[in-house]
Amino acid sequence: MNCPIAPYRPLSIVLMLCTIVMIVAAGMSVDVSAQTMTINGAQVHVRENVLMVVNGDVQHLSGEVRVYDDATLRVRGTARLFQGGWYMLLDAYVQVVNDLHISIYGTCWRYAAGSLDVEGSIFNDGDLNNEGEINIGRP
Amino acid sequence: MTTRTRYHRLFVAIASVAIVLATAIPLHSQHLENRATGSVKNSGTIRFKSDTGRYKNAAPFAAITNNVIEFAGTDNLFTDLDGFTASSTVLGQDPAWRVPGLVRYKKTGTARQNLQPRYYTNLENADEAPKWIPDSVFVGGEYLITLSGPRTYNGTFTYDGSQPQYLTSERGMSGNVNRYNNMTIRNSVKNVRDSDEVRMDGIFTGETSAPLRVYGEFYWGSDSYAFADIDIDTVGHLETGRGVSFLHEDVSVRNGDFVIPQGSDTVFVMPTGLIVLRNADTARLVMGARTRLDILGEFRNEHPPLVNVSFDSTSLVHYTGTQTPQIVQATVGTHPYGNLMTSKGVKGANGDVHVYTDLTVNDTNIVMIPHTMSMTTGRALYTNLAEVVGRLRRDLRRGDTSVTYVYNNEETFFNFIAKPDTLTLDSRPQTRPNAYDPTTDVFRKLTVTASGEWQALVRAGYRASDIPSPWDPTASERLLKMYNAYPAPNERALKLTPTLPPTYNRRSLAQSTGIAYVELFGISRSGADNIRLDDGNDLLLRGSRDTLRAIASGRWSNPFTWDEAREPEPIDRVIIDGFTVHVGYVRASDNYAVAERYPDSLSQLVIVGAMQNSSLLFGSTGTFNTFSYVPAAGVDMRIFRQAPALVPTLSQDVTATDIDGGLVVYPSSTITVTNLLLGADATVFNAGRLRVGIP
Repeated sequence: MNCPIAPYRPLSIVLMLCTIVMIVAAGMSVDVSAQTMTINGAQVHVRENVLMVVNGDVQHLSGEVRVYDDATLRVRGTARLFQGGWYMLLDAYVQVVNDLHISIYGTCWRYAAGSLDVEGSIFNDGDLNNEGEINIGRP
Repeated sequence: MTTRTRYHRLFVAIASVAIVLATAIPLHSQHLENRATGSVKNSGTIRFKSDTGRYKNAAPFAAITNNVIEFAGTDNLFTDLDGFTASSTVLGQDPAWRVPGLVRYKKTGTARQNLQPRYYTNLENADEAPKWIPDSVFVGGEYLITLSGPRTYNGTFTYDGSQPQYLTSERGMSGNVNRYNNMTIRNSVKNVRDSDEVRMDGIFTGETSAPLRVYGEFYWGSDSYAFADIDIDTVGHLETGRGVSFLHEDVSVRNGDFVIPQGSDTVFVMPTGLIVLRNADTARLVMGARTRLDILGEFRNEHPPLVNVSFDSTSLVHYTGTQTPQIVQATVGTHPYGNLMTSKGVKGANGDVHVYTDLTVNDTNIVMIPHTMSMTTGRALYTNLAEVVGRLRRDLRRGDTSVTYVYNNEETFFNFIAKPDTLTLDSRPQTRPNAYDPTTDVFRKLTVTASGEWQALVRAGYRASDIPSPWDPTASERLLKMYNAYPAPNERALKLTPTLPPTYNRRSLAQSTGIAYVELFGISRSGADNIRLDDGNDLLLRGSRDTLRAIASGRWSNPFTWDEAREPEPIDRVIIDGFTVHVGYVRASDNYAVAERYPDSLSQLVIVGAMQNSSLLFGSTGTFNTFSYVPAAGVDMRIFRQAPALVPTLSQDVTATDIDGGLVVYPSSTITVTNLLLGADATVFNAGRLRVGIP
């Protein structure tokens, strides 16, 4: 059987590849990553000037996450904070690509003067403190 | 269709769907959802970047603090968890849930950003996106406009903070873009800052709890309701709008302008209201063309020179309060009222009042004493018998002799033959005039002063209340005449008879609707006694029955034979001296054919004097041939003229020539008199029947 692509010009092949990339991209924006970082009683220190990326969700069952000055924490999924706290100090930058859930026992504290970007929604049952900037959604 | 074409189309379709999925559909909600147990303590900024982002809340109000909430989308909202905007936990739904901190609507681009109707603490519009401001936006703190795109206001924008607030500048010149639509202020003092300019298109409401301080410029739009004090200071400027304005409390102008501009509808100073201009040249009231100020309360100018007001000549100030008296604010000649109207309660004045155009006095009097109501040549209009009591002065330098100038009431006027520069009539009802006789005179003091010579037809009105006690039975309104009455110590009254006979016109109280009048032509400031009303003397109205004097040769029944221009009545006393008067027939001297009204009681007394041509002739017209004086004791006919020659008596003389004969009775005529007294050398020619004594 002949491959149906074979007769086509390179432009058509490029178009097909682009289509596949777009479908994947669309799927990524809809779906959460299958990968999860779970924090259960740990103390996570994201020290000054470093970058930490979670290519998936964060399940924060207990413990603390501290993001220090000029550090970046990027969560390319949804963050769920069940107990404990996230503390973003000074010019720390935290990005959550999907939603941020803060449960009744959770605390999210954005100190001045950096920003927390949540591109989805923030669902808060606990304490949300902001002294810097919290950006919700995308334009 | 080739295989190639089919696949090509399939790829394109799949690509289109992928593009839509990847870029256009918001697959995640983008809200802040604070649930019942959550707390959001924001001392920084929470920014909503999507067009539909919402701040949802189900927590108690105490769980929320805020510094800045920034909406960067087109339709961001405060809601509850279910998306409703008015349930109990929604931020800004009522004053108790007022959104704390600042809510900033900040968006770039040209897409319109819609504000949500809310109770805000502080509100800011920023960046160039147009803003759509709906009805029911309440600001309790500060309203900021920071390089904002055009703002379109709808409904009412309310400043309702409990602490003093500034009203933010909006300088749009028309419509509701960059100009407030309706504005309401409440709960605390509101200020328009110096150098700020606040303009609006619709209704202004200043509630009782919200005094207003205008230190900049404030332009009302249509109707306005001010229920609290307004202070205008530091060169502030407050202009009323094109609708009506109601001022329920004080408007105090210390240093600035309160302006009722051309095109503005009526401004009402309500019974509890006051416009007061403080003692400064710069505390001004300005009224433009065709504007109107209705004062049910009070208007007071505390700046003694009174030059801090400007009334267009077509403007109208209407004092219509019911307080007794309501005080009319004084003005000066250089800054007069345009039109002035009064109605309802009695008015007084706190100084001289100058009116440039018309004066209208309705319902009740203006009591000017001891001041002067001063007009130029405008109309003075009266209704319901109202009057100006006291001095009414007119500057007549631009006057006209063809115009009737009404003075203190609707029946008092001067029609000038020669006009002075000014003429003042001081009219005081129920006040004793000079040389007053309560048995015959009108109890009203009318004093005329003028600068310059004048001569005029003068009408003087009076009311029933000006005749407080019964007159002598012989006196009558029908006999009212004008006198030049001198003051003490030599009080006397000289009868005015400027023409012979005088041209009186009268309307009695019975014929009037409340103000009767006497009118006499030819009174002058100078000249002989009979035409002159001296400057400062009173114009006395006297209804006495004076002795009638013949002033021309003519028939007894002809009014123009007599000095009061009326036929003698039975109660009258008559003197004929120097003229020939005939009874009962027509002579060519006046060709007067009206028969005598009282042929059987011509008068009480007749005296035929000793001057040449003094004659009383009795003739007949058919059966109209029998005459008598009042048939009572004490009624006399006295003859003193001695005829120089015999008077022909074969037939009654019908020529126009005077006859010099004393008493002449022609054939067919009968005259009866109770007493006949003939003086020395007096002559009587009787060719008819002369009967003396009562049979």
